[in-house]
Amino acid sequence: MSGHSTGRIDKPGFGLLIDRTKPMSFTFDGRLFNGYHGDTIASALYGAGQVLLSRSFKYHRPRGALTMNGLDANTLVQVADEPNVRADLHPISSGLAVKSINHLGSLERDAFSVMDYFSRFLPVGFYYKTFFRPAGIWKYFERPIRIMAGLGTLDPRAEHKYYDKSYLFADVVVIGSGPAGLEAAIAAAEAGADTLLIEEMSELGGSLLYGRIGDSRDAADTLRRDLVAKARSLTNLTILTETVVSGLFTDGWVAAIGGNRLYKIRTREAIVAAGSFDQPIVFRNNDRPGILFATAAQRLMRLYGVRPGNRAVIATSNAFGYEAALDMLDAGGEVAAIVDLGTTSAPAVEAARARGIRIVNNATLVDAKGYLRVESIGVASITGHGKTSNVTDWITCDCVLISVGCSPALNLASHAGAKVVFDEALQMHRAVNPPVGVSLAGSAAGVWSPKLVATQAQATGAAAASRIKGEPAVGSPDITDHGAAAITHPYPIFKSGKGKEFIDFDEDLTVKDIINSVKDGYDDIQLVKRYSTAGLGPSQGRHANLNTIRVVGGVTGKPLEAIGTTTYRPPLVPEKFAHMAGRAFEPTRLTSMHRRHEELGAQFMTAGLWMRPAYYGAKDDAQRAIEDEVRAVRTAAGLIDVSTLGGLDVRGPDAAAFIDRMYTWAYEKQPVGRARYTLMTDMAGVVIDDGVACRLAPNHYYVTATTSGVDQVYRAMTWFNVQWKMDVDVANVTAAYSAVNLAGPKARAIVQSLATDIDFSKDAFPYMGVRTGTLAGIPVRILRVGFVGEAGYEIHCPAGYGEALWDTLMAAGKPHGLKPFGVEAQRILRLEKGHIIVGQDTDGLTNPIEAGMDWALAKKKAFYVGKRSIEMQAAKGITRKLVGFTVIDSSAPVPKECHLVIRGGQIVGRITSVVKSPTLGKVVGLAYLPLDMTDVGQRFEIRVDGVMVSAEVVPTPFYDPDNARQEL
Amino acid sequence: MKILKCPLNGPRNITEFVWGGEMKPMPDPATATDAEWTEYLFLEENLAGEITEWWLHAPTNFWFVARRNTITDEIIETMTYDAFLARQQAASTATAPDEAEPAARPVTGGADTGATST
Amino acid sequence: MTTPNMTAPDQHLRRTPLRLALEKADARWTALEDIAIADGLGTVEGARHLAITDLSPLPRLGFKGRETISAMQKRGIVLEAIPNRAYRQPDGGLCLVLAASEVILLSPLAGDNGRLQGLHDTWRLDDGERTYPLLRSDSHAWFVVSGAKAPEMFAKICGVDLRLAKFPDLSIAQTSVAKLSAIVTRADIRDTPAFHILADSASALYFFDCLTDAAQEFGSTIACRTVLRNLESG
Repeated sequence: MSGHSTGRIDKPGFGLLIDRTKPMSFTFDGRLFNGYHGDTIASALYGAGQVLLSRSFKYHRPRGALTMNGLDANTLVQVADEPNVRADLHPISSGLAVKSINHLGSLERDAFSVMDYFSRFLPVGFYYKTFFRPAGIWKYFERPIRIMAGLGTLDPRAEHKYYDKSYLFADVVVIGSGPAGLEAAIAAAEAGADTLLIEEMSELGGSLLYGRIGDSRDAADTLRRDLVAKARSLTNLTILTETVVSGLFTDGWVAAIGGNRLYKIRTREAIVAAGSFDQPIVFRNNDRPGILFATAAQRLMRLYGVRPGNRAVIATSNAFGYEAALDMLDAGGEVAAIVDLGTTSAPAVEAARARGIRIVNNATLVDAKGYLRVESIGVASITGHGKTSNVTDWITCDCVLISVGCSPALNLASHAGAKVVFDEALQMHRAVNPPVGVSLAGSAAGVWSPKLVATQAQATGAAAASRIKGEPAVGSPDITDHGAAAITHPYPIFKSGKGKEFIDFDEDLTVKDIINSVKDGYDDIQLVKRYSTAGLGPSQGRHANLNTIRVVGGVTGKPLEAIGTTTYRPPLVPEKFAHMAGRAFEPTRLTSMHRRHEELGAQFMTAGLWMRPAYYGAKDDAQRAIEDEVRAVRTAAGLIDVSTLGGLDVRGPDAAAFIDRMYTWAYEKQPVGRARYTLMTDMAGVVIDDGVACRLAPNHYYVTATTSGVDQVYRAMTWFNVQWKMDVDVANVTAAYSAVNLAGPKARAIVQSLATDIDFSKDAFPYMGVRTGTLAGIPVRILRVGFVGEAGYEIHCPAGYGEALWDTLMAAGKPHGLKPFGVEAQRILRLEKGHIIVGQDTDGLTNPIEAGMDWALAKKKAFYVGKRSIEMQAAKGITRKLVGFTVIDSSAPVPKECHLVIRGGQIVGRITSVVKSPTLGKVVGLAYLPLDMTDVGQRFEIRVDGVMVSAEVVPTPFYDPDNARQEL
Repeated sequence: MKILKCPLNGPRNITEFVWGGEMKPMPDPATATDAEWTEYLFLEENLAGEITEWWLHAPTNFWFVARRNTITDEIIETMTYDAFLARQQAASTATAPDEAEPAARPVTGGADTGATST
Repeated sequence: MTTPNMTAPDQHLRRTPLRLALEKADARWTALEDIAIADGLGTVEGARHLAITDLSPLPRLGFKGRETISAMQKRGIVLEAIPNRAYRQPDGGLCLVLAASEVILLSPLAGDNGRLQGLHDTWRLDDGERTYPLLRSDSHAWFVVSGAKAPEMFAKICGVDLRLAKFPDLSIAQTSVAKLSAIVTRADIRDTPAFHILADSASALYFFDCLTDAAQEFGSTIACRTVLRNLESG
């Protein structure tokens, strides 16, 4: 004995994908298995005699591979921390650790398999019928049910892996590289189209890799080699293997997954040549391991050199079953019998007969014996539509190959918008009216005969190329293959009365379940699907939909055309969240001074996309750090990076008139060299942004905007001016300028210590003045504005100079006790001054009157954005107002933003900003209150984490009420 | 993903664009009644069928006009605002020849484009 | 290679936003007017295959406004009113026409001897030209992605088809690259495909990370202006 008692076939023409010189071992449930390079997990296990792969979802029945093409849920396994891996697609590698899923104990002895005997307690729709009474019962059942019905296991500690995305561009995308896909791609490329051919397998050829043409394997193999050689020789034909298309969307958008990459493909023409899906026979115990599609057996043999068993029974209604029987013989196996549901006639039938295979006509399978693997199969004569005699024969076998019909792969065409209809003549579904730019080729288009496939696919490829070139097509792709009517048996469903005949292997649904769904009143196919869950499993009904429709047709007496079909929705194949996420593209904006903040130990916070220093110092000492920063600004000087502030240059003869229309206050008479507060409202009069407008020249305003508001402000300005056509240019120069605010009693001394052409004396450069010039050689725009309430300079410079500006000021400020301060300190400082922050102290409905900003509304202007609405609101009267308050008892808990103001048990207002002011030694804040509560001295109650805290309305500013300090 | 054709930049993924609302004329704020003004602000036609909308190509901050069919999800055409105005004017000229006005100045690209999405 | 102007970024008032990334790549620095530019990175062969170069220290200047095209023509700039086209200037620089109302002027690789600064300084608002300068050296970082593999790399981060046959020399795409607005201009350096990217300077480090990450699988390198100049001189 050679040492491997496996089902490996040691003959030429078998094992195309494996490299027998490269054996490798891996584990399955801890047991060591051997395979070859090129094997999938399932093929290696099959080759080692391990046919049992998993347990079923509901009844925990033993299951083996069905399609060997990643199309069924039976092959789902866990590979390390990755759940739901399809064992018939996933390659083996040395040391790979594979685990079976959905069982308690071992795969062979699954304690949950008792579920199989309790099936009468799990009727169709049992989720809806059980567990809902008494109320709350579901939460006791949910966990055990989820454990029993779960598939893989998620490991929350799983390592992050690198996934990414890539665009691809093509004139023509061909999906599938079987004979139709290859022909179509070659034709499109030869007609000059930039063509992309996508194949899920590692090798091109589709059914030519394992199937026959007529009774000849050589013919298929030769055709494959010729087509592949031709395809590879075309320079405008790109081939992408091991990549699967998961969705086909509008405007030629194709989603495809290859390894850890999601391809976002844009094409002008998509040709779906994705083949078709095998359909099972429905009979008692039709789910036993060892019962598989004939194509799956052929894939095992030809691709991996694995014989599915020693002794096969073949159940078929077409030539393909006979062809698989020939393969079985060629692979050195035995064919116990071919059970033909009718009387097929084809070259392969003659070949099979000539090789002495027993053929049983007009018969079917009705039962299977064996538990972990099929041991014998019960055969009966077909006596009518879905009716049979008693078992006439029990045939011993270790595998059963099924070929009783196909369902074209219409999913992608359906995603794109094609209608799916049932074709009575073919007994198959068909796509009609696909959108422009989507066509089908080969068996997906209902064409099967090799000759017709070539003609139809070539015409399809050429037509796609012609459409791109805007030329008339040569030859029509509209071809009907009448011979295909012999492929699909109209009703391969044989109910025996007891036991389980499975329609949906994923969801463990039997014929009885579908019948009961209809009897429960869910007689529309869409309702049957949702109530029974037929087709909702991982294989999405590829093998269940057609038989479900047939059973529903049988019960309701409707023809299949009238029943319709459920909707195909993307994705076609399982997609991981990691594919969706890809590589995270989250732009982060850093100011030109960012590095200095890091060096100074800043803790950062995000402001939109920006990173801003919250404060400088250790996290566990934040409070002290922030208070130190506040104190520095109030007593000496502080420096804050305000580069994130928005900046807009508004230039041109209409600049002042334009600003006047955009903002609420009056600007036309604003002198050059002065800044003025700006308040922007939208058309509904809601406050949306604020800043200052600096008149640098009669026709030039430099307007600041909030960090998060500037993009909207810029969009609004340009939107209006597209319509107004004023002679003005608006440019968003936020990134072009860095800025700092140097504030505090020592600010002037610091700037005066630097080389400059600007006169910083109080009279020459007063509060709200604006100057341009140079400071220590750096070109600057300087604004005397007072957000924090001290004498200060907001210094703007081109961003390239930002770091140098920071360095210069920090060095110059050192003898004056200058400290950098962050956003946290700035929030306190501005609140001490009672200054509002748009978006914090205003909300999506706040008008300027409520916010106490009526002083910034120009009464005489004919127009500004929002004017009409504000006037309407003013006439109607407001109901709330933003006021300053202080907490009366200094030992009371400190309220937080959004804490509620309560009166008589009712919510009447809310806190927008609040802080325990280090300067004033008390809690101050801003709150919206009803109008009758806003008089200075009035008291109100704030609910702070369940405790009522008393507060009193006080005037603002809380600090320096005469605004003397900022004007120093 | 859908493609939208920007009159300045050509066909692009629709993720490059920002929807700007339905195209609707602003009533004169000085003369409109409160009801008219409120309707202008808050009521949208929301038609099932062909609509005209504002769209913005975000990377260039370019505002333009698109005609779209909300039933078929088809983008019928896109044009600059000036082209839109010219067409409107041509249409009103055709229906009321006595009130003909000069067509809007045609522009290539548009007056207020800029690569400043910063 | 002689390096007479060896310097450090901090010795200059202006600094490239990519300084940190280039320091990590062990750049040497050469003085260029009031800024230091990275040197000693990459090879000509690498730049022909796939390389990323920071040209942010080189001068560039924008003009925007409804009469921009004629104002530029008056200044002797070579251009036409065709949006999304680039024009090579006699000195080797580029004029990018972004719209009928906007251009960006890029210095030649060798630098421009203060020419763009001069354009900026001599512009007068009072002239009423209806064109207005913009500080593109400050608002936008300037990268060059060069080499035959560049289009394949771009496919990973940009939705516009930048394949050489579809995006010919001197084409411009104003689009989103790695979720960042960017101006992508193809302006080959001799026979080497070269994509000049202008993108938000504040996002420059993020963007550089995205580019190097996307380029890594193709065996990319970081190059410098000297390498591109060597490409240019053949």
